[in-house]
Amino acid sequence: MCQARSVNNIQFAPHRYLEQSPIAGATSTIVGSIGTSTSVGMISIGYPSTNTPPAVFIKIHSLPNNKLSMPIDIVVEPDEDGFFASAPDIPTLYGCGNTRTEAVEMLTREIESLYEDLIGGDQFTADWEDTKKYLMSRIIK
Amino acid sequence: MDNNKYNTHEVKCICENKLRISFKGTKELNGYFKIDGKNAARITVAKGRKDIPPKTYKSMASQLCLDVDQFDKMLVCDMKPDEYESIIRSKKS
Repeated sequence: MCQARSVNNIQFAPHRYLEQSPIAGATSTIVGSIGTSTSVGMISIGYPSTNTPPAVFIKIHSLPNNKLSMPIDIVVEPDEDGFFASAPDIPTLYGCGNTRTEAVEMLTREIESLYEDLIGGDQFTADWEDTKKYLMSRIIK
Repeated sequence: MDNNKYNTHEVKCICENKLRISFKGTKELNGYFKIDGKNAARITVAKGRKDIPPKTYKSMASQLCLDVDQFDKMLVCDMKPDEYESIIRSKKS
């Protein structure tokens, strides 16, 4: 488990706990623990600790009803007995669930739901514009 | 943080009654707090009567542009709708 691996062409140093497992529309998953982490590019890498359940860093390549032109980064962390998913580039959204999969699936639905709202007829305050631009740049109708 | 005092249904009802938020959705409930007819803040609440873990609670507060203490205050009914609206207006200006 502590041997170096390459995930999405990112090479990680040895002695870091890395693992790949598919979640929802994600194609890459890095498992580590939060609290002691570093960054390589857009992805934070966690290190193992004794009691903290691992945080999972994934890239979502599709939404339930739409495709993405570029993946969206998602972080899934433990939250009491369940899991909490967030997208650093869309801080107004979250997903939660009893499992990581549930949390990610809720977040992907939320991303899609917000996108539909933003491009719909409702009026939004100006500070939603950045989120709208971001989602429009990622989501392929 | 008062996340252990409320379940998702209670938060939803408080948001409806105090912030005049109307929720919609199938698997999750989404609602907007409006200022001058425009959607200013969007909150998501899971359906049912589920416990709210800390990160989820903090995120709900953040969605409403509140910190956790302000969210606590809003839920416990100290905060009036006009007070909340003034917070939102100050952050959106």
